[in-house]
Amino acid sequence: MARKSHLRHDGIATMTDNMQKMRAWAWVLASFVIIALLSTYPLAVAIANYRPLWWLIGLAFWLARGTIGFGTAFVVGLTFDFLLDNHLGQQALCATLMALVASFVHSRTVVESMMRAWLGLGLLLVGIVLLEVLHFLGTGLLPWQMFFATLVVWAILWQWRALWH
Amino acid sequence: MHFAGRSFGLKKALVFIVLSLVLMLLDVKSPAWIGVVRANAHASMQPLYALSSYPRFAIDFAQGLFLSKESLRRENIRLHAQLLHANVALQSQDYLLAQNARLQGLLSAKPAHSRLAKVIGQDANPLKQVLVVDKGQEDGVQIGQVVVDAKGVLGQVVNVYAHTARVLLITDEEQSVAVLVARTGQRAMVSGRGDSVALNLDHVFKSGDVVVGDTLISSGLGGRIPAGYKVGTISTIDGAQGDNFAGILVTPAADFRYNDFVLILQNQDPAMHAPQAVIDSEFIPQTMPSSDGTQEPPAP
Repeated sequence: MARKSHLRHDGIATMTDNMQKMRAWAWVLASFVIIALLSTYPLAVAIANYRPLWWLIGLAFWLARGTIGFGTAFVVGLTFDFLLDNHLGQQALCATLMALVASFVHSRTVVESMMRAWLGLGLLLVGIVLLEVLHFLGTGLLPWQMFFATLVVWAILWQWRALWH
Repeated sequence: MHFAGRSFGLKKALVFIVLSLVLMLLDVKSPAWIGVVRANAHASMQPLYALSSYPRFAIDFAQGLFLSKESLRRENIRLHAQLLHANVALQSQDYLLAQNARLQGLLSAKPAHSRLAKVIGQDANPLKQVLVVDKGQEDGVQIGQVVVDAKGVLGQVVNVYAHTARVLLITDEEQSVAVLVARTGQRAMVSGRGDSVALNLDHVFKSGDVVVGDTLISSGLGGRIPAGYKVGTISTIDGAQGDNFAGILVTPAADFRYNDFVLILQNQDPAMHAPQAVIDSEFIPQTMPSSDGTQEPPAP
């Protein structure tokens, strides 16, 4: 009887866990669809340089929360390579290396609450440096206004405490 | 999916890093097949491009509501003055136009007609100088057509969708335009440098007859951009370079930053021609070929 109850409890736990995963994935998917829209929407020429690197923000956020791993990071990077007309593999490499840093931190310690915001900021800075280096080796330096706008958006997200819990 | 409590995953990371590097190499070495995927990726953005024109419509509509009668009257006077100036300027161009038309007749070039298009915005990649315009395949826009504004050459159409098109500007690093110096007729090549306010004038010897302020017009050489359109003005000449060529910067004639409307030149003939929109009937070339291909003798 006790064994039966234990099995039933395990089954419910697995189901709840799966539902939580599915919900998390739905959020990831929805956020990247919105990010794709924001990233590709043609802006007036005078303000185009102030477009934040939305995909980098999204990636840093989900990696800091530990929701996505290497595979998703790679696919996100590759998708945005196509959408933003970059050299293929450039942003995919950047995303993979960001995932590597996130993986290293998550394997060493449990990151919770506002620690996620700090880790996200770290990942964002790593991403910006990597992206600038990769672009410098490829097509040229990205305008500084983009990085400034990216950090401003991150600062706004930082204030939104509910996101980090 | 959580990392916490899991292994570092270095092997997995290495696989994706190698995969990224392979893709980068493939993109450089064989861009043809990747180009197809890229074109499809851009085509998938078509609804987005269409969507982006709506805020502009809303702004225009709102502006129309709040414009006062007085400001409209002032604008009307200003436009009348501009028209007068333009007409006076045109009168002095009559001789050039007649000569131009005659040369086109000799070349049997088809006249180019232009289509007005509205600039929706700049493309997502800040390192590419690409504009998105609100005319596409259904308006007869084709890849390779040249886009100009009131002041000069803007660029060329590189992608066409149903209702929009992407225009690669001449300021992009991948663009070059064959030009000639209007004052001397010397031929040269202008190339983009990824900067909307400056272009490079390449392969001009230090001893070449070019001075600051020289106007550059498209020469039509190469068959991509028609002859006779203004490309820019020489702004600086640096003779201190190590090689035999001078480092020359050109200020583009076209306005790349604040353009609302542009013209797409259509029905271009590979045999070069100059702008035809203002050619009056009285300047019909005296040596225009007849329908059977023979040329009539010039008028006495």
